[in-house]
Amino acid sequence: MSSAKKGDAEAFAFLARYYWAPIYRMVYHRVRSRMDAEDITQDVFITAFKRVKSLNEESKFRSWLYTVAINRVRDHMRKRKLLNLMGFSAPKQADDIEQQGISEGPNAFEKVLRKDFWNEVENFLSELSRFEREVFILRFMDQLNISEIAEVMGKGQSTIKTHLYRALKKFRAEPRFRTFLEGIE
Amino acid sequence: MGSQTKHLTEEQITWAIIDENELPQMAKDHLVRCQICSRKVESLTSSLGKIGKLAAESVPVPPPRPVFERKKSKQRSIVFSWGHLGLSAALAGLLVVVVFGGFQINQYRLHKRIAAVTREMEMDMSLMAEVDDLIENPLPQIYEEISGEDISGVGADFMDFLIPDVTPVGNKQPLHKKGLV
Repeated sequence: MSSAKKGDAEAFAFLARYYWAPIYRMVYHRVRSRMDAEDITQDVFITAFKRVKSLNEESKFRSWLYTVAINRVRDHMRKRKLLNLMGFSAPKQADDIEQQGISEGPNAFEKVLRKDFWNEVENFLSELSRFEREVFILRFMDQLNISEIAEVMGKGQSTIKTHLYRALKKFRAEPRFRTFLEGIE
Repeated sequence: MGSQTKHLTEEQITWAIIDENELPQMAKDHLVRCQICSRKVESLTSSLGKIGKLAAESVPVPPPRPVFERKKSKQRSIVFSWGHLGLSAALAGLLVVVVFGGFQINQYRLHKRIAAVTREMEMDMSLMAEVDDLIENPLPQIYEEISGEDISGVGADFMDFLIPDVTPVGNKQPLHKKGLV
């Protein structure tokens, strides 16, 4: 880590390989396109390499990396919205999450299961506010702990907990999604 | 006794998942002893854990790209270059329309002003010609024809010759100046 901070590309490449999968997944959960997720993930690490010198606490590298990734995803969403507004909508990717699962899943049951799962996730997340959704995804899909989420979102831990509580309250009040999850082995 | 019989509320169950330390000590103690409450927490934790597991399994991660080599896919670059090209063309078109349109509007205004000035000058000249005619011959053509005399040559000098000024005696004025001739 300290070598990477001094500008050692090899050391940073090692870190990039280590964090590539979680960052890629985190981006993919939000943009739902394999091609975009790959591009954004690469951008995240390029940006991180350029700015790693400014990181004061090496122990916070993981949450700092997620902050960079979240900002890149937001930039991407803004750009996509602007392009859609101007009529330059990107062609619909055939590799969205459901189809990705279907094409690479080991059997038909799992394929259908994954598709249903993402439909349920979509339905549930649509009931949350923007902040609740972000906190819920970071906690339960990206598996970050409360202090990491607080650092990523730039908010206090108590704020994060409050929003997480509201999101969980809605989750508990959503029997369909819970029943679906309970039915999975 | 209280901590053993009084189960955790729904709110406390939720807080137990977020952060167990947020619970009051009594609730924490109850959670350790009570199987019903701990099973509720476990069930919810398990459901939430499945979200992360399924989400991770649904996203096959491609091998990491070399971070320091930019490699954009062909399709993506076409989409974006077309987007930029379209935007540039639209802006250039807008610029041409603004510049050319502005020039055309100025030209039109100039022509309109010149035409108005020319028309005004023509009207002025026509009016001056009429005034000149009246000075030369105050009687219109039609009256000349009715009288049967051509009085075009009759001017102020001829009138003075015909009715000369007579030096007034007292307050007497020439007859033609009194309007009697």
